[in-house]
Order: sequence, then C-alpha cells, then structure tokens
Amino acid sequence: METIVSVQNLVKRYKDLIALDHFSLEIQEGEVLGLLGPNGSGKTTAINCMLALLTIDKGDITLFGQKMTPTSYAIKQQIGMVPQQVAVFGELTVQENIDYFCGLYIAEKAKRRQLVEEAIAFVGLEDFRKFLPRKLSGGLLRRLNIACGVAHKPRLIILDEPTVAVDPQSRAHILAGIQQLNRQGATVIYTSHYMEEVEQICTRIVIMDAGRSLAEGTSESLKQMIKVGETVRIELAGISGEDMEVLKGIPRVYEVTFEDGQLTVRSRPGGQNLLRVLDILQQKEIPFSRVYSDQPTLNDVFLEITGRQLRDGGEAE
Amino acid sequence: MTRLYAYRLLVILRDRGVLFWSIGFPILLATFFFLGFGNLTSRTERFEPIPVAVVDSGDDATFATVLEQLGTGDDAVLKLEYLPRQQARQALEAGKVDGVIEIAGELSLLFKEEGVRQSILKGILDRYVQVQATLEHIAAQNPESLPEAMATLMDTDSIVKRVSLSGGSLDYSLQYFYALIAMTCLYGGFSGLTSVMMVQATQSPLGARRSITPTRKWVQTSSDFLASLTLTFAEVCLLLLYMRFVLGLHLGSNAGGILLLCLAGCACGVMLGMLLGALPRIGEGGKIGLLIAVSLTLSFLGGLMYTEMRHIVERTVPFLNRINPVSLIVDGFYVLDTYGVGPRFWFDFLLLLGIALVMGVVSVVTLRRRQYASI
Repeated sequence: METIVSVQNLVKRYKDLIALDHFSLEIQEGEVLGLLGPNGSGKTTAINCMLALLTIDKGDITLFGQKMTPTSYAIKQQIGMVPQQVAVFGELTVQENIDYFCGLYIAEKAKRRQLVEEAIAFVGLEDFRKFLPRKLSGGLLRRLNIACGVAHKPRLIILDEPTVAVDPQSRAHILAGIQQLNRQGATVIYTSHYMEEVEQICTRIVIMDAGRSLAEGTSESLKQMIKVGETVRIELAGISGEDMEVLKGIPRVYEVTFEDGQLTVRSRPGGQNLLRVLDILQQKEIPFSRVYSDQPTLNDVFLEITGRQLRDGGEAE
Repeated sequence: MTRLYAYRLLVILRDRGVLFWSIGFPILLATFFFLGFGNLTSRTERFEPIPVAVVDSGDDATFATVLEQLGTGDDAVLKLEYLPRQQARQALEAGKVDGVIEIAGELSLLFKEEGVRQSILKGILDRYVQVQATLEHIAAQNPESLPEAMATLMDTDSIVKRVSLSGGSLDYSLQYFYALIAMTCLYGGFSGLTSVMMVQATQSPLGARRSITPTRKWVQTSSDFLASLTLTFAEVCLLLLYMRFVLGLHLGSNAGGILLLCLAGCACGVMLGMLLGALPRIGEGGKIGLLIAVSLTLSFLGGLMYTEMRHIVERTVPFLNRINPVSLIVDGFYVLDTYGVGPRFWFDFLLLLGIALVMGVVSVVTLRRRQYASI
C-alpha cells in the first residue's frame, strides 16, 4: 500500500512559540486519518506545512513519495483541500463556485461539467445551484465549501474542521459524504476537536496537543491505552460499606464510590461489569432506580494523557 | 485562462461596492464638477458667434475691416448687425445683442451686463487698440520696419498656436475633468488589489485555497489583471461618454488617442493596486487605506483639487510629474487637445506603460513562489 503522506520530525516556530514540535506522521492510501486536538494544538499548522503554504524550521514532508514544495503542481493536482474558513466567491453562485475551483484542476470542459454536477449532487445542493453564498444557511455554505474542495475527485482530501458551526442535519450529511469519498478510494485527513466525529469516521486517530503527537491508533486501541474502561452509575437510596467492598471484588473494578444518591463503579478496560454489579445489588436486596453504563471516550484518553479536557478551548489556530 | 478571466469579470461586475467607487462615484463627482463649473464649461461647448450691433460712422476703416473679418466665415466670432445708434441701443436693451460697438472717433463698447461674451468683445477692442498704438509708434520711430511689424501683429495664427508648456492657456475647468478621468483610471487599483489579495494565502481564505491548486499563480494573476483592466477601461469609457454626451464637455477630438491614453492609465491603476496588494505584512484594511491615500495624493498632485498644483509641481519637482500617472494622463489629454498625437503624447503614453510595467514586475517578483512564516 502506498504511503500518501510522510511527515518526519517537523518543527515549526512562530517566533518564541513552538507550533509543531518534532511532529511525525505517516498516512497510507485509503486511510481516513483523524487529527484530534483542542484549538491551538497545531492541527491546521501541520496541514499548512504539508501543503507548502508555510515555511518549516525543520523536518521532511513528502506527499505521494515526492518532496512537497510551492511549485509541486503534479502533487497539488491530486490534493483537495477544504479549509476551516469558508473560502468561496461571494459573488458567484453555488454552481459557478464549484465550476471555478474544479476548473483550477480540470481543464476539459465536458469532464468538468460532469464533475460539477456530481459534486452538487454529492453535497445535496441541487436545489440551490443558482443561489449566491449569502443566501445559504451555515450548513449549506459548509457543504458548498466541501464541494469546491472535492469536485475534481482528488486522491488525497484534507478537511480542516469542516463541521464547525454546522447544524446536526448538515453535519450528518457531511460525515456520510466523507465516508463515501473514502469508499470511492480517496485518502482523507480529517481534523477536528469533535471526538464523536473522529470516532465515527476515522480509521486511525492521532491525538495532538502543543504541536506534538501524543498518541495514535484506532479508537479502540487508544481507549485500551488508558486506565478507564466502563463506568457504571446507578441511582439508589443507600449502600453499606460492606456491600461496596463486595463490588470492589469484581474483576477489573478499581474504584467504587457512593455520593449524592449515586453509586459509581469504575472498571479498567477489557470487560463489561454492568450485569455483575446489578446481580450483586439484587442479591443484597438493594433497591435501585436508574442505571447508566458509560464506555470510555477519546476525551477520557485525552484527559488521561494531558490532564485536560479535549474541549478546554484555547486560541484559535 | 479565458474561463478564469470570465469569472473574474463576473465577480467584479457583481460587486456593487467596487462598481460604485469605480464608476458611480466618478460620475457623481463629474456631475458636481459640472454644476460647480457650469459657467466656465459653457466655453467648452460649440462656440456661437456673439451678436453685436455696430454703429459705424466711417471714422476707422481699418477697424471696420477687422470687424468684417471677425464676422464672416464658418469660424465667425461675431454676428454683426449694422444699425443706427438709437436702434442699436434698443437692441441692446431688448437683449437682441450682447454689446454695441461704436466707431465714431474713439472706439467704444456698450454692454448691459457683464459676462464671458462681453469680456470677449472687450478683448477684441483692447487688442485692436493695442495693435493700432504699436503700429503708430513704429510708423513714427522706424517707418521702414512697418510692413514687417504689421505682418507679425496681424498673424493671428501665431497667437492661437502660442501655448505655454505648463498648459496655462488651457480651459482650467477641463483640467478638473481630465484629473477626474485619471483618478477613475487609478480606481482600477481596487480590483487590482482585490485580485492580488485573492492569490495570497496570508491575505484571505480564498488566497489559501487558490494557492494550493495546480494552476500557476501567474495564470491566475494574469487573468485577474486582464479582467480588472477590461472593467476599469469600460468604466472610464462610460465616464467619457457621460462627460461628452450628458454633460456636453468637449474633451478633445482625437478619440483614438484618448482611448489609448486611458487604456495605459487603467493599466497603471490596476497595477498600482496589485503592487500595494502584494506588499507583505499589511492587512487588507491597511492596503485599501494605502491605495486610497496614494490615489488621492497622486490625484491632488495631478490637479484634481487645484489645477495649478500640476504646474507648481512642474516648476518645483518636475520629476514628480513624470512618475505620477494622474499628471501624465492630464498632460496627455491636454497635449491631445492642443497639439494632437505627437512626440509629447507618445512620451506621456510610454511613460504610463513603463510605470505600469515596473509595478507589474515588482508585484510578480514579490508574489512568486512565496511561502509564509505564518498565515
């Protein structure tokens, strides 16, 4: 399988701030790679460096096996970029915008016409093709932004936070579209600070913070790396210390607490303890009402690695 | 490239803000100028002979001949009506004539109100009296040179063609309009500036998006430049048509020369915008502010607010007039109207093209293969 992107020991400084600190990354053909990190973690900077928009202080970047420079037109031909900010002409209609950007890659008129039609259908803007961007809602505008980046059917698609400020319906449409592009053969780099999105569509995830790659793997393998597994929460009137000790005896359970009428049982990864906990409560004849079972999230992974929440915020990139 | 050109045209045409400043504002300004200088601009319209009553008692046959010459032919200055004194004065009272010239002993001129026409009549009489006095003096002091002196003084062509190099003899109000046309050419800088902003990754998201496409930057920039030039030139043509056919101004009779001059001026304007747009480390607002400041300063130095300014610059720092597109355009118009297409016109025209070329080369070198330390 071909290596589409290779980034080795990339260092990028903004004066005294180190935006990328020996950042490395490899992406194989057909992958959907998620770059997950809070605002300011270096995701967009990494992408701009890969695209040769930014100078780098150190490191090597190759795309499709070739060194990427501002004049690597053959490489650029194979890339589609969906920037974080909507970048379309306000004076051109939906169809004209897509045709304009597609035309920067595809010269042949007939082929371009077909690709534009496909892109319009792909993002579901058939009824808005004659609309100017200012007449579109935020979600539809984002879809247009995506269509402009992917209409030419690139081999590598880079989407930088494409769902920011998008309504749930458009978000679902966008995510489904990205998966479809991947099924059609495109390799995708997807940056986001929305962990649910990354979990949903990415085959591999790189967690970034402070310009470094902290961890990488599939969603499941990342969750296996941390202490937290299943968390069971049960609402009940009360429980004795003796019964809590019994619960602590369940394999992989490492913490049992009771506070404000809620029993919390935390287990390490590797098994489901909900039924065992309920079984013990029934045996001890302890009445309970609501029951919750939470699986670990990427936020838990990020929290455990950095000591911060993924959505703590920070400066925009 | 044709497709990019067409889309850029469309983008500019649909940008109401740019359209207003590029054409709406100059047309408004032209209208205000016209209203402000209405009395003066009437001189630029086709000249109608001045109706004048002549009371000729036969005392000065020479002057009668001069009047006769001024009152005949296609380019007659006067419309003469020979009347007795009483009827002449009645005609003046009734407004049928602008003045009464009496040739009885001394020459005299009567008029009811002061105005441009009356000034012309007074000028004719003054000139005649002055020439007559000079000839009498020469006849008394140096009679043998009288024929040569008469030939020189009567050679009106030499008077008509004598124009100061500073343009002082030109209708001053027209210079305001020339400067306005020049300013409109420079306003092409707005679309030029926008074009360059849209190919730089640091300046706009659109710039970043266009920078990562396989279409070369020079192709994008060239098509944008051509579209901006086309639109600016069309706007200037529209302004010229408005001035000529709505305001009735006579801007010159050499249409080809005027269009050529305006085209070079527009190229300068668009390139000025591109040059400022390519400046590093200044945001879009700053660049637009800079463009407005530069174009207004150049227009001021070129005589938009005060026509004498261009002549002051010519006397003090003439080099400034050689590198100021507004001055070159104004001078080009003046030269065209006065001398027609000639060496001085081509000098202005080529200087304009040269300035545009230099600005273009600097812009391209600045933009070429640029990577950024930060976006």
